[in-house]
Amino acid sequence: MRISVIAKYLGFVLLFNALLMYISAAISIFLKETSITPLLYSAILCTIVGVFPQIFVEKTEELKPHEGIAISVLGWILTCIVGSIPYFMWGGEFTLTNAIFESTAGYTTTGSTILTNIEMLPKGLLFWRSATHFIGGMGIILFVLLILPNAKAARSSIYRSEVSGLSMLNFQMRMREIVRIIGIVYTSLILVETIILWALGMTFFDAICHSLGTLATGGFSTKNTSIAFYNNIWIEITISFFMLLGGMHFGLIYATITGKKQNLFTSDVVKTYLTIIFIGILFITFKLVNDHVYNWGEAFRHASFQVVSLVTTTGFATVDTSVWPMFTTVVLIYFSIQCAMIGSTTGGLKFDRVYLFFQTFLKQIKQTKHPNAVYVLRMDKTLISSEIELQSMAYIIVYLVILLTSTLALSAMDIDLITSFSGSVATLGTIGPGFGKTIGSMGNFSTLPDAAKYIFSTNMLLGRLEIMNVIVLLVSLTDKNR
Amino acid sequence: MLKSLRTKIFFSFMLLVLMLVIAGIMSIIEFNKVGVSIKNVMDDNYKSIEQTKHMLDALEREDSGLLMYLMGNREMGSQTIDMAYSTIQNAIKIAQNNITEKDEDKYINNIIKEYEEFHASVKQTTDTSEKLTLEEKNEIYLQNQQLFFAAKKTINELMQLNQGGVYKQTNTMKENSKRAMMPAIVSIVAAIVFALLLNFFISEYFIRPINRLIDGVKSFYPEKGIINSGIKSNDEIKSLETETNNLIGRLLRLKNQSK
Repeated sequence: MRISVIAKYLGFVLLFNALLMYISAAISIFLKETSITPLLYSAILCTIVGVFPQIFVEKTEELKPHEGIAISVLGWILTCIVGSIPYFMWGGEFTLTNAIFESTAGYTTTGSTILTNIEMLPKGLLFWRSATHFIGGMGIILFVLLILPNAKAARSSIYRSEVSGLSMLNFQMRMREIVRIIGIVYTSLILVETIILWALGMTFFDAICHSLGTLATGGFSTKNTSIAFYNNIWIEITISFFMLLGGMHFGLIYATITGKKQNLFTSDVVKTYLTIIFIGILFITFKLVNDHVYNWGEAFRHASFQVVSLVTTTGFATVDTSVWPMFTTVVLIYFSIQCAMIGSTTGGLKFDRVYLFFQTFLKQIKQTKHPNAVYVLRMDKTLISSEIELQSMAYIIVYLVILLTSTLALSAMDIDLITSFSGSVATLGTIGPGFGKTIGSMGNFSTLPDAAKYIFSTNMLLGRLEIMNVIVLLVSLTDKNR
Repeated sequence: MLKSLRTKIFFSFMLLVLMLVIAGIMSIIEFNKVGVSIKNVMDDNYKSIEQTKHMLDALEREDSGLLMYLMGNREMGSQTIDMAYSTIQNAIKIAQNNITEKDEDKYINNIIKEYEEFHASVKQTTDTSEKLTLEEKNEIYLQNQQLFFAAKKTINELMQLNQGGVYKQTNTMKENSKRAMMPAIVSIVAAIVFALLLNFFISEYFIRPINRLIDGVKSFYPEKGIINSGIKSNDEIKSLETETNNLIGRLLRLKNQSK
């Protein structure tokens, strides 16, 4: 593994982060806030350290596969660390641990927070929180690929390590084109949502921050009570719609806009995904009405928002779900584990894998019934190779093992079961809020021990990096023949 | 991409220097903010607190002056009342010119209103006290006491407002001083990382090629013709390899000619 080459690409990652830090610093300078020094100095620091490897390392066309993985994994870790510098330098509630937690929650688009009073943060720092969602939503590495000049082979190697094989299914084009499409769809939707939210009564600043949080499926709000602050059904409908879009395959969204045959309306996976969400909303609505928590209208409104918010791993809230009946919590936990679609900005297990899991299960039953028959798996008319099938199964197993290990480790710190389990689900699935009084939809992670915050931060990174890359990197590092 | 080793080293150190200089400037700016906060506390809030203390003291003296007057020591009482009045008016003027907290002007207006009522009552008492019996004087003094406490309350409120301001400023100072230290702390960590990186790059782009060249020279034999140490860079070390090969070429040619 060529460390110098990896350092060169990590330098690009730092430079991209610096760009958004400068924008956040400009907001602070304009508003004469206390966050000028933290943001500006962090930006300058990122620029200097980012430029440094460029002085020494010459242009590299070829990258080995494990170098691509190293750039991807280390890029994310480095980003989370440097992203915490503005928070740490600003102080307030941000200790070093809290700053790293907040930064990781931002970049991984988890949206969990340690802040007890979000509204007292300077606007520049609030924008930086949302900007980390923006970077993380598309993926810092993909951003770098988008701006990287003339490095075809290297770009391809990094891309393969950043985007899972399953998510490439709906893209029938060249890599550079795919990255470009993701970028266009992502930024266009953010712009459209910002305008709509602004028109619906949000301030422009709040509108842009919430749009960044929605399309990135992150969930950082500028208000302590999240979307509940606005108590506006049209804002909730708009955000729900864009959360749903943010949770769908960007290739399919692009295909729908450009009138391609294989699109959102013809995709079986999308149809099944939406049907399951609708059934979940109905279940919760019936339960809330049955238990006299809300009337029909209110129950459907809040159930819809919460289900969409959790399944798309966004984590915005309109109500405190910790007071809801246990049945609704169980349904919401299911959606928190299932998550949204591959090829979107979401993290976690992802619906396509759950879909594939059940397809494989049915295939195995048929195979047992007719041992000599040959059955193939298809997703949206695309043939699924046994390699992808196996990768998905392995991913689900590893995901569940990490979920249980994390719950066990947190329980060892005397954290109650609902907090440790739902916290693990919420962070590994990059959702944000968990369940229960402490980390519920209106709670935060501030009171948890530092060690727990590091476990949650690791979960967020694993969830965003799709676990396998981290394992491959660790194997590569320990492999003597590398 | 920079080609010369000299330029590479120069730019590396320049980046390090730049980082430290900027950290220094940022720290100076933040420490300056601490200085401004201290100035705010000293000049603004503390000045107002001092004036409220003067007001309270003068108010007490005016009350004592009234008591003296009623007890029969009219000249002394009258003088004390006048002096207290002038002290309070002076303190109010200073406070009015030193508004630092939100709604502080309203607090000062309240003081003016309540104090004027008290002072008017004191004046009225001194003007009419000659004709009054001891019981009547006692009753009027008790009435004055209510106005005295009302005026004292408004002065205390102004004092509390400024004390709150001092507390707020102290917290700001605490935050600012912490923030002032941060660029230095972050720079120390960044400088360590930078030094490690620099060490790595020096070893990768300077030491390793030189070692390769040494190995190339060591394993050189005339039949081979040239030294090929596998240096891919385009810097001074590559030039050294090229020039060494040229030298070898010239020496070999010289050797062949002498044969």
